[in-house]
Amino acid sequence: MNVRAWAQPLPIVTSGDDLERDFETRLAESSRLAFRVAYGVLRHREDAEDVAQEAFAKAYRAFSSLRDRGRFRVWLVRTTWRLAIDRYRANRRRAAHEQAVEAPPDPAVYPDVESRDRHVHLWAAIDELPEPLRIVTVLAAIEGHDLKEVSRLLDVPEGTIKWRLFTARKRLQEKLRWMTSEQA
Amino acid sequence: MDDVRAGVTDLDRAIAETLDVDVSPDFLARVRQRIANEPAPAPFWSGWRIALPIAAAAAVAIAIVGVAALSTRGPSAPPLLASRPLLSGSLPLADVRSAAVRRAAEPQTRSHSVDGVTVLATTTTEPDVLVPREEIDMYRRLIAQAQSVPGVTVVDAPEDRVLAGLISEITIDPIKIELIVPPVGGEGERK
Repeated sequence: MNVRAWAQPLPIVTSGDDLERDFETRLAESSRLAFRVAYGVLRHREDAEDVAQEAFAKAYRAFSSLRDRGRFRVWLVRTTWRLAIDRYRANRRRAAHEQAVEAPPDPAVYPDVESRDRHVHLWAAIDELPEPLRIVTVLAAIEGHDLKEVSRLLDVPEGTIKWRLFTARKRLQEKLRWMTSEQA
Repeated sequence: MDDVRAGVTDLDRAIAETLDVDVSPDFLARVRQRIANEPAPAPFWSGWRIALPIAAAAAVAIAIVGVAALSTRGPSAPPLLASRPLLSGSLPLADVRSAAVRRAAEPQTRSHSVDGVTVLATTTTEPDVLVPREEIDMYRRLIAQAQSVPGVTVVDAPEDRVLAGLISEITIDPIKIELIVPPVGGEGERK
């Protein structure tokens, strides 16, 4: 997918039918992005799809008032991220309330114990990152986004994104080294 | 350094692999289904279409309330005594006003030349009295009602006398109490 194509603003349309058509186009080109942003927080397919669906429903309601349609993806990423974080916190609260243990990763995806443990440690470390570092880490890892695209999606200067990504990676490495050595 | 780069690459790869999950094939259909249940998005001007009649109705309501309030207040009482400029020198009154109010009431003398003759015009203006308008209206109504009562005569000072300075300052002499002497003579005669 050409990641720059979405940055081109679509012509401004006003009638109801045109709005529907415009939204359908946005939905088709951004559904995977929304899902992956949500999955980056939740790591649970059904939950991520629910959140992405909710984000699109919200986008649909607000679509007519969105002045700059070229910023639709920016808006969608932010909304999806916030909804996913809310869902993640709600899930954790519920899990704590029910004294339930977090669901283990899918054994089909991680056939050996080592890769599964690595996955668990990696995401535990990512979840502990502050939110600005966390979202940058997730966005940089999906859809082949480079710094410029992450910067555009978050509406944050490229230099800031670069610094955040560097800091996030450094912290993750330190944390993973510590986790691995502790486990060993 | 190479180890660090390798670590970063591994890390990025691991994150990317975890997130490389595709959305279900029926995801778009489910989103469309959900959106179909939502009311259609209104065009951007639809907000104005609602807001404008509401604003117009509010304006009409405010106007009606304003007119009603004015009509319930009733006809305003006619002014009993119109304010008039006081000539300097007339009616020396006890001045209990503040200095600022007194200054405002000072006669202002202006001179202008008419056909080579300088004319001094002295005008005196009454200062604004800091009394609530409602109170003034109340007193006016009270006076108007008092005047309308049959058998009551309100006497106002004749304007020509006031202007001519005929009414002098009221002075009250000390009261002398004379001894009461029993009347002498016939009834009705008094000392």
